[in-house]
Amino acid sequence: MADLLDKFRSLKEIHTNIVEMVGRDPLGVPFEKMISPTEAVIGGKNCVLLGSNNYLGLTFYQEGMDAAKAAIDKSGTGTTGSRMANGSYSGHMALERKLAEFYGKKHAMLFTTGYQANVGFISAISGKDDYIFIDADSHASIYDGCKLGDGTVIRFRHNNADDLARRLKKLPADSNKIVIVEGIYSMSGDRAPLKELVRVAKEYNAYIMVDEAHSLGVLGENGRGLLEEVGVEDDVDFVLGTFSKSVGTIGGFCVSNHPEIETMRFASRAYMFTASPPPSIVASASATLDYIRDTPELRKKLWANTDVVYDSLKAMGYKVGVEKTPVIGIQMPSLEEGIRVWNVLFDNGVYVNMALPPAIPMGKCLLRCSPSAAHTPEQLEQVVAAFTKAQPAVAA
Amino acid sequence: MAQTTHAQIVDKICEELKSIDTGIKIDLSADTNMTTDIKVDSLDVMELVFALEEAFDASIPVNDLSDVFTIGELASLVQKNMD
Repeated sequence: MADLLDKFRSLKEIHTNIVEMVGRDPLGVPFEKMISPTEAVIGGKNCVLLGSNNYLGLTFYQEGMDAAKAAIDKSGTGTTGSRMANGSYSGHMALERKLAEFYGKKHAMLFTTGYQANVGFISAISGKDDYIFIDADSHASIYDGCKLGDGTVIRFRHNNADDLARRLKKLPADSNKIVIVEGIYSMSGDRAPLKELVRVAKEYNAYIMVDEAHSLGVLGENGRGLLEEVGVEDDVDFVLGTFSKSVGTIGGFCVSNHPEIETMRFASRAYMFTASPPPSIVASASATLDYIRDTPELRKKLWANTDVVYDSLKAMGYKVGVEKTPVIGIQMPSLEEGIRVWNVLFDNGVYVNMALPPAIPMGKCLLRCSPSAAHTPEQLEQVVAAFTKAQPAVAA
Repeated sequence: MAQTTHAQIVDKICEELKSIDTGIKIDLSADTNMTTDIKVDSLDVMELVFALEEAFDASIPVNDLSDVFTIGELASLVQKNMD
């Protein structure tokens, strides 16, 4: 009998090579201690975290932590089952009401993670006669949701409304169609051209879903994401999101005015067969969501810090994305150069994410930075200084 | 307008594949397995499919790509999804 896990051999070889080239494992860096939302002890020394998705720096928000602790004392550490089996705690229902109110929608549904929200929603709505249109740069959770559904999946060129229209035009007008896009894309950092995409979707009678994972709390005057920023809140049918980035905890959700969202509780397997979010998570998400809504200064700080990082990198000649957002992907000319830069940054106390093939083209490397509202001027100085030192590592 | 033939689509696929540097240089034909023979990765396949869809005004379901291994099979899929 062959080894069942032989299929992992090539993956293991790639990983082993990367670890050898870097001199440490960039995909499994041990954080010995968290100091703050933007600083940790790694390898015995303090590092500035510039690759955390902690956009608003709220993982240490005092009221969020207090609410979590109080919820544990009151309701215990977990729910030990799904809401269908073990019931809904008052916190689940209150958070759903709060989310619906926050977005001005009639219905909200919690999922245990953001990944599960996408997988659970998309797989449930994707019937065998339906067409699911996804952006080519969609997150893995969107692709996985499509894989689990029964519908026909059509991929259109990233952020290209004309390509979407060309494909929608080919289908019968009365067929069920949904267009799925993201508020801010997690690697390239660009926004979806949502006004155009909504216009095209409506023209061809398609539903539209927006995943605001990286834009909740980041875009819009009240933090309601790209929909709020571009003024299409009434035109988008389904909004999905996560608590694992700007909200600083974990969990996912879907909000909509569609009345049958409530029925999805009996149709979405990722909802039905997963334990519901624990009371502490629900309580911290609820407290933090209030703070995000009521504190526009957080977004101002985030964008000011984004200006510093993005503008400095661009001025130094790093190949950053065309759009300035708190998701800053730096394209490295080669894997070797990416590794050299990552190592110089690491040695100078700055941690960023390294994205490698197969997530990006073979032989390439993308360094992903995410500024936070919680970065101090001193930390940003350290970041800029580290990138300055790393410059010679590109095309060295 | 004359209908596009399977052979014409195969030719176009071969032309597109020649622009992808996988480090393996072999003669391409309808029987060439794109994954095992020339090591085309999934992102290259995505770009290849976009190029074919634009060249032949097709829209190919992602679901169907998992059954495609050879250049000939991809040509058949393109042909099936042309207007």
